[in-house]
Amino acid sequence: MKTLFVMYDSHCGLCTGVRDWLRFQPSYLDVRLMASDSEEARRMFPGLPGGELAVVSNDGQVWLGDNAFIVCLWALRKYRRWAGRLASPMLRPMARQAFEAVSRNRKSVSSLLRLKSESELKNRLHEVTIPPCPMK
Amino acid sequence: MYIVASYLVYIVISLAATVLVARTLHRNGGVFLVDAFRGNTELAKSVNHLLVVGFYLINVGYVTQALTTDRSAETMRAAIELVSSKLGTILLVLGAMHFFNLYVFNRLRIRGLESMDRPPVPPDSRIAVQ
Repeated sequence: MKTLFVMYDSHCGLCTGVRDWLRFQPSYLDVRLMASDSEEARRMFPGLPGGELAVVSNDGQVWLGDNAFIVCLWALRKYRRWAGRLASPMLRPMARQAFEAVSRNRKSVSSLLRLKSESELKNRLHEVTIPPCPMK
Repeated sequence: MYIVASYLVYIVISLAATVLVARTLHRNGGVFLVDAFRGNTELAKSVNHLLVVGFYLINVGYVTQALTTDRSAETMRAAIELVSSKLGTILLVLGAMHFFNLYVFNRLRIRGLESMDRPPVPPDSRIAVQ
């Protein structure tokens, strides 16, 4: 296993925030981040269920949801121990519930933390009408 | 008057408690160690055994060390108080040792995780990647 492809929801501010954090973390493997609805992701992994965090390894293993989150941590140099802790029988159910709660409410969590995704920012910018220049 | 009887009661109960804790540790610690050594059962068994031997040595050593007392046990009440306070110390030491052992087990397990070459969770599915 050499490369992990991480598919995230590009419409959610929290997810893109985590992506930006993940991008600069030192990792054991090559981690490639792509939006789950991007052309590239659809072309490379056509059978993948969308709308959920998914990790695919270069040898074709797929992890979804909270499992995908743990695999992301496992790939990072600083957080591999945490992956092991969260995967232990004691913390596993708690990690699953926490991930599901955050994932289900990711839109409201994003707005609560005032995190905006790029697509949302783009839409907002489109809504802005520029007043005509009075100097003309 | 009751001092010999107190000593005997103390020795029997302390050793019984030590054996009980050591057996629990041996039985349940094995699972942790198999995980720490990533399925290497032989190594896990060996380390488990070594840890338990250390546990016995320290505890039985402490129990025998702490046997003698300056207090006299002239009455039944004094004897019971003496045995009780001695046993209390032994149980606290046993508890501390037990938690220390759990800490060691967990350290070993987490250190094992650091060098794990595959993710700690199995994949949900597989797909063909070109």
